[in-house]
Amino acid sequence: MSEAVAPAEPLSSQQRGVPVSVALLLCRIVAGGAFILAGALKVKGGPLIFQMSIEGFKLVPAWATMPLAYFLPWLEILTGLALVLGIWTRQSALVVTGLYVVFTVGLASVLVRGLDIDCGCFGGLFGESSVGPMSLVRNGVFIVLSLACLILGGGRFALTADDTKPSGEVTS
Amino acid sequence: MAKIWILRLVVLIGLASMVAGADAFVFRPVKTPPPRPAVAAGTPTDGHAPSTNGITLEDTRAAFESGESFFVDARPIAQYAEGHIPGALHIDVEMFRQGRPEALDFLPTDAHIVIYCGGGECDASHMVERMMQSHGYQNLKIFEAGFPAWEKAEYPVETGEPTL
Repeated sequence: MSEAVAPAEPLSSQQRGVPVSVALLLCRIVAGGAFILAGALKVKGGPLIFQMSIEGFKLVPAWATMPLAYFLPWLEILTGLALVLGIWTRQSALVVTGLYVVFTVGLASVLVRGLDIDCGCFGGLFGESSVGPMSLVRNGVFIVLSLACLILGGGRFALTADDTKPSGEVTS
Repeated sequence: MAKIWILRLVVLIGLASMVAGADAFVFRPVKTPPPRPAVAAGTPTDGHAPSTNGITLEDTRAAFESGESFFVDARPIAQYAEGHIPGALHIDVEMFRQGRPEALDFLPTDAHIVIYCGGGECDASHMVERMMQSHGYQNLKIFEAGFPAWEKAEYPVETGEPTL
C-alpha cells in the first residue's frame, strides 16, 4: 500500500484546476443525468415493460430478467445521482461506465444479429422505437464522459473528495 | 485505501439492491401472467416464445369479416399511419410506458382481440399482449404473420393517424 507515501493532503480531486473541474462537472451532469433520466423512465414504465425489453435482447437467462428489471433502474438512478453530485465519484463513475459498456455491447450484439427490438434505453424517450446505430453513438459519448470521471475523479466541485485509485496509488 | 474504495462500491450497489428489493416485494410486486400452456412439438413458433394463441392469415381474415373482433396494431405510429387493418386501434408498447393507454377504454376486457405487428422478428405484438394481459384482457390472439402478410394478400387497408 502506498499510504506511507501519501501526501498530507490527499484530496486530489479538490486540487484540480477550475477549468478541469468545470469540465468534469459537465461530464458528471451529462453522463449521470442521462442515467437518472434513463432509470426514472424505466421505473415509471414499470418492471414488466423493462423486463420485456431485457428479454428482447435474448442475452440473459429468463429467470434473471425480472430481478434485473427491478434492480437496474434503481442502480441507474442511485449511481447517476451520486455521479452528478460528486459523491464517491470514482465508484459511481465505475458503475456507470461499466453499465454503459454492458448496454453498448448488448446493443451492438442486437445490431449484429439483426434483431429488430425495442431498445428500452431511455424508456422510449427520444422516439427511439428500436435499436439502431445511433444508440451506439450515443452510448459511446456517455462512456467517454463517465470514463473521464472515473480516471480524473470528480473535480473540485464534487461533494466528496476521492483521494486514491483502487490500487491505492495517489492521484495527482 | 483500496479497501475503502471497494467498500464504497459495495455500499453503492447494496443500496440499489435494497431499494430494488423494496420496490419488488413491497411497493410494486408484479403479478406474473399465467404461463402459457405447452405447445405441441413441431409447432412453428417463428422464433418467439411458444404461444398457443397465434392465428393464421385466414383466421384473421375470418375474424375481420365477422365484425365481432377488435384489432390492435402494435407497430410504431408511423407504420400504422402508412397502412393498417381497417378499424384497428393503435396500441404500442410506448403507450404502456406512460400508464394505461386510453385506447383500452374502447376495448372490453372479454372481447376477442387480434394483435399484430410487422410479422417476422417483431416482438411488439407479444409485448402488447402481455401488457394487455396485465390489464385484465383474456381473449387475445396474435396474428403472427402480421401486417406484411395482410397487405400481400391484398386485403383491405386503411391509412391515416389514429383518431384517439
